[in-house]
Amino acid sequence: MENKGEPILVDDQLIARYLSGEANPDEAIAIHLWLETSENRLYFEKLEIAWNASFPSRTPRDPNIDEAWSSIQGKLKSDKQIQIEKSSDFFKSGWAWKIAASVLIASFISSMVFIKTNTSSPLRHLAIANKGQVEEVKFSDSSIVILNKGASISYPDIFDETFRIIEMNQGEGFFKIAANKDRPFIIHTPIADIKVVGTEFNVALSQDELTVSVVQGRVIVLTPKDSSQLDVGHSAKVRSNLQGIEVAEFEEANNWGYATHSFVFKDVPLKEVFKDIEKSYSFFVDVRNRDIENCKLTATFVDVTADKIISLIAETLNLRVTKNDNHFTIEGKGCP
Amino acid sequence: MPDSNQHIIPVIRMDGEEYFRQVFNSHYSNLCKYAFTIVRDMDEAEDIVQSMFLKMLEKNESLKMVNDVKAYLYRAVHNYCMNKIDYLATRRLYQQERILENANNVQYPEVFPTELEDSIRAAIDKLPGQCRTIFIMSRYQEMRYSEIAAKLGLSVNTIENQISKALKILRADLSDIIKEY
Repeated sequence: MENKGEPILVDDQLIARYLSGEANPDEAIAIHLWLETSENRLYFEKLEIAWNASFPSRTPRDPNIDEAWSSIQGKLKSDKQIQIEKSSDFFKSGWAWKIAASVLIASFISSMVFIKTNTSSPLRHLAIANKGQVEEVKFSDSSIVILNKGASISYPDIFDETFRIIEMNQGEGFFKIAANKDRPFIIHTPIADIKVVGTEFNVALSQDELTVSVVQGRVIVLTPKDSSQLDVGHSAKVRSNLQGIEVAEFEEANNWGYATHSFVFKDVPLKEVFKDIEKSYSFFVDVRNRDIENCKLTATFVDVTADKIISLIAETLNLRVTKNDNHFTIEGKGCP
Repeated sequence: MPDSNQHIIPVIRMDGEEYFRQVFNSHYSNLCKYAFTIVRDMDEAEDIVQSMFLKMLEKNESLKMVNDVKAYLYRAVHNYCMNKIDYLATRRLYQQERILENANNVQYPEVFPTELEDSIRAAIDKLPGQCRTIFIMSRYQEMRYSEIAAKLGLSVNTIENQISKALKILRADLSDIIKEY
């Protein structure tokens, strides 16, 4: 992967360089990432205030994103015709960066966008799970990833002989990798790489943090400076600013209920139960009586549908359920 | 390789647009802030970032942002800004030459913008000799680190150190004054 050298350390010198307009693009990215932490922001602001005080009329106002968007949108509309014409001969054009975006017509993948890229390796696809929907992608080796809402990966049409390599760009995915010792499966992310031979594990990627949790088998997590082998029941956390890998036992297996549709609850108040369930399926739960949320549930659900899980819970706790579109309404006596 | 093109239609406008909007929303402000540090004018910075996004659309380049969108955008903005200041730098050169003829004089009274309050002016004046000269060249004469280094016969690294040092001193010295802002 490009751009994966030494991580950039944000220090006073880099901040000064940034403020005086000397930061290169990678450094600017590092600074902006670093500024997402409020502690860092406070520190930065003190230096920025001193910098601005030394030339008050050069203190920047905030960018006006709304105005900018309307101005761009105006252009967008008037350019639409050109846009479509251009994209039709895109496949024929001979750029080094020959990328063609396309949407497969098949309806079952209607909410996904595939982008084919012709680089040196065979065909690549980009899969994005659009908001509000979980998507399953099957690779050429019959490994599977279930992408949570908003996640995106890119992967080749056919895997290479020696490695099975994909890239994960953002979001969360639950991987079920077909066992093949001779062809390791590698996931590149902007923060770290993940290497396996055949396992089940969950990957949650945010802008500055990666969490890998192993449900079955064994997983190796690699950063430029560190590597860690994970066994079942463990998760590794890597932050983009620190290159170390933190390993811990995980407790919240319900986090990847979106993929497994399986949940374990041990004496958990319904309020929490519903939160886990809502996160995993595309529906909402309303309770008529707040006391219902106090009721505690101990149960294990394996590969259940939303309707099934809600009706099982209702039955167990003697509650009534009505369903309206993607809303379940629950009525009943509740618990003190 | 199977010919899968036959099942593929050109990009559906909506999806591209949606994606573009997402990218725009998540990066516009930060890109403008970054551009500002280089061109030192927010109107200019916003113009640059907007025209970059528009150019990208025109050239259908939004599609190429597949691998690392963020890195691509920052690089593009950096290029636009550098082009802009190259032009400004040429225009500025003449003016600098004139000021730098007196580079060995310790005083640069004329380089401070008139708006500066005495307290701030005093704080800057109190910076140690070379540190002060370098800070003034960077902040008020708007010279690049490399330009300053060349003019003073120093390494860029030294310039970096001195600017960072100046900033730290100013933060400490100005902390009382700044509270009143």
